[in-house]
Amino acid sequence: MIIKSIKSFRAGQRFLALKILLFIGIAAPLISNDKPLLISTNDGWSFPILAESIPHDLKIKNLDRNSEVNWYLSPPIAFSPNELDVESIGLHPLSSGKTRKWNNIHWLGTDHLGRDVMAQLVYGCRTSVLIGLMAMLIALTIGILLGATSGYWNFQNMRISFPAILFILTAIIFLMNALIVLYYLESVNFLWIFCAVIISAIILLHFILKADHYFLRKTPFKWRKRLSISFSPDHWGIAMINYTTALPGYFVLLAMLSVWQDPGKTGIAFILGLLMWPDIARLTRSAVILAKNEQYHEAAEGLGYSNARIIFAHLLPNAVRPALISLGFGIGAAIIAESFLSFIGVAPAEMISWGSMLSLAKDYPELWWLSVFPGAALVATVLLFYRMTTSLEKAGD
Amino acid sequence: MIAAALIKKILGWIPAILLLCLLGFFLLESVPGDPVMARMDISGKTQSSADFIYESAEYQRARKEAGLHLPVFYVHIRPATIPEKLFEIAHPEHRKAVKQLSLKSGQPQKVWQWYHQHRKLRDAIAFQKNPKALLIWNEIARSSEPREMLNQYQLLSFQMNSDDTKSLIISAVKTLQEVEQSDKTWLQFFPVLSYNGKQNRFHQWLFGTESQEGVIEGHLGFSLRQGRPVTLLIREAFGITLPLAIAAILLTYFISLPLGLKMAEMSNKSALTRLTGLLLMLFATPAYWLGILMLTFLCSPEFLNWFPVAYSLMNVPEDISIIHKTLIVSRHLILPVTCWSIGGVAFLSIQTFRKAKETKGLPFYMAARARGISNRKLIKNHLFPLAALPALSMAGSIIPAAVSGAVVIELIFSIPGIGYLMFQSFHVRDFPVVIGVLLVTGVFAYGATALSDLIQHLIDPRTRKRKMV
Repeated sequence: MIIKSIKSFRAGQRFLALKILLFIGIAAPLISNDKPLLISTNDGWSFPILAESIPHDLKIKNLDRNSEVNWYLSPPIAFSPNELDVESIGLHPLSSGKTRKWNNIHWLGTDHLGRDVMAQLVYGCRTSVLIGLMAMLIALTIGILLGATSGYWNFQNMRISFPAILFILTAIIFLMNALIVLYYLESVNFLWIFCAVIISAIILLHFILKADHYFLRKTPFKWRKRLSISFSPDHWGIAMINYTTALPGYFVLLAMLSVWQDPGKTGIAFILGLLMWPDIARLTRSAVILAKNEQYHEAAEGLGYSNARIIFAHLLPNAVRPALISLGFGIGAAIIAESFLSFIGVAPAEMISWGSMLSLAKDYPELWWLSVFPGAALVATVLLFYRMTTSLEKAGD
Repeated sequence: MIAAALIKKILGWIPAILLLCLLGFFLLESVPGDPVMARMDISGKTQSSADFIYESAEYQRARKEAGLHLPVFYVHIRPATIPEKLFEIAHPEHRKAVKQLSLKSGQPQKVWQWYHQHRKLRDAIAFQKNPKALLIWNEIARSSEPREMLNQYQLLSFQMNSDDTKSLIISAVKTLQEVEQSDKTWLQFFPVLSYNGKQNRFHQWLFGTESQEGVIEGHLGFSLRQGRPVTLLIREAFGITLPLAIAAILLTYFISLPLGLKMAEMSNKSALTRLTGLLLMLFATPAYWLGILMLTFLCSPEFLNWFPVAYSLMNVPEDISIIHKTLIVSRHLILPVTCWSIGGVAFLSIQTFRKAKETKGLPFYMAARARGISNRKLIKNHLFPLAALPALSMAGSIIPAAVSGAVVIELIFSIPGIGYLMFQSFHVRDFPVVIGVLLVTGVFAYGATALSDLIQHLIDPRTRKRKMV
């Protein structure tokens, strides 16, 4: 029983790393800030951390000289990531500023402008995890849809009637026209238009396929072949997977970002997601093919359910597991790519990221802690995601 | 039979190259700013005279050379309220104004007619050399508010005295009033599809015209900053990258295959766990951070000054012995190549180790061992051919990764190769070079992947049959 409970505890700890990283990312302002969490004066308590800006003598480094304050609660790291300090430029790790109090120590040193490295690490974690998760969300959407389509019609051609093709083409043209008009009016964000078009296209496609299904069922058998064409989604799905895998990633990223001048966090995550879906699609495809051999699929087909219902309600719930397991690798790769982009200065300048910290390290080789700690944090984060994946793989076997 | 399959496999990559060209072309099309201005040398002229640059014969010629008087693609979808030949208007602000005007009114033919009448008016003004009238004319052409424009026309008619200009103004005003009165904005939701034939920019960019070669024939345009052909720049840079990339890939294979087999032989379980953990950590390490660490600790005077910081193989003296030369070259290359291949080594050796371990459990292997075959022969003839399979099939993802790793490594170690060229032209926004490098590296990676696919096809008979999963 003890062994069993230990095992279940360890199984529960697979996501511990992810939880810790998410916690650091979400609670970054509470962990590292130059405003105190709580101040007690003779008038009562106040929470300076909630204020947008506070008077200079209420900042932590000045609080000890402030005679009005009885006591205060400091965050674990009493520095803001962007707080410049001329008196503490290029300090070694563990060296302190003016007073040797526990919250005045720069645990991991400061950079050439006197900013605390530890505080920047905490905020960099936020950026990395956010971009990694967002990129994988986009990759997951594309990969699962494409992989499921590809796997469901493997060794089997999709048959679409001519009226449906005509309808689809017309719909696409109208949608593109709406996109162009919105673009000309210059009042809507491009990303929102894109999402709206994708969603409406999926809804439209659903109804078209349903109509197509009824149309083909009503037509006499001998006309069916003449009134429709068949094509193989699997063939083109595999082709798209291969084509995207074989692209040299960083070159495509740089070429896209040279045109898209100010992408922001969402833009970077979007482009990364567009490049990272093939692995997910491949895994989902093979899992769907395996699930198609099971009896419940045969039963669903025998009951006459539509293709969409079989894919989304019967096959995918059993087939997304490998893709979800491999998510850790994808998040790790996305974090590395994002940090490289910040490293070469593509990402917005106000974004604090481990990569942009490392780019400083190249200019100041004598401040070795600038290169070691952000890189170690990067490796640790990526490794945690990899370990999560490998342990989940083992549990699956 | 095999030859037919091989040809089919090669032909399968043609759509990929076409798609890549499409991506490159549309990235090039969506470059911010005026592409004609980038081609012309306008360094001497000030910003205030931009209107006159757009009307100059020089600009018109450059625009024609860039092919901007043609439609973008074979087919063209536009809202029914947009004039069909909108792209023929050279001045970008006039183009925008005409677009907005016809979107608001829903009368593309009328707006088009008005614009032509307005242009005729400009010739008359230019003939009379009246700078103030020209200014008003420009104001009208930039505006998309019919009410304001009519007021401006009134001002213009005070400036111009001759009868023929008066009649021109009257006809333009008449058309504009008709435009103002109509409100057919609902027309914009109806698309018009037009087929442009071969006279479009994509076709000319890809296949070339009579006067100029296309991208397919190897002409990638000229660098905006250096003025040299992109093909030449890429060829120079590729000459430096290619040996390094091949060295890195070979090193990956020569280290990871024996390492994976060795790991499968290991009996010490804890050492094996530690080694696997180390490899996983190396796989998680970004190559650029490793490079920075190497530069910080191995190439700087503060710590160990073992290797040169800058890559300068061009300056190797000619008159020294071969051994000395090899020493110098390897001193320059050892850090970049190590850094380049370390991620691949970690990944591939784990894969090889897994496959080898799996193979060791198979009956044929146990039977061979029971027959008493020597360990050396066992590995060479029974274990290696199967354990090396993932290394072969992974080549499809390792080679593109190695190619794209060129950006990282060359940036860190300042090697003037293709990745460095990409980064430099990215920073100065030299778009023809960026797109050219993208196309060349993409086609190179596609070729390498196709080649590895073919080799796998020849070596492993099982891949010739279509697999179920």
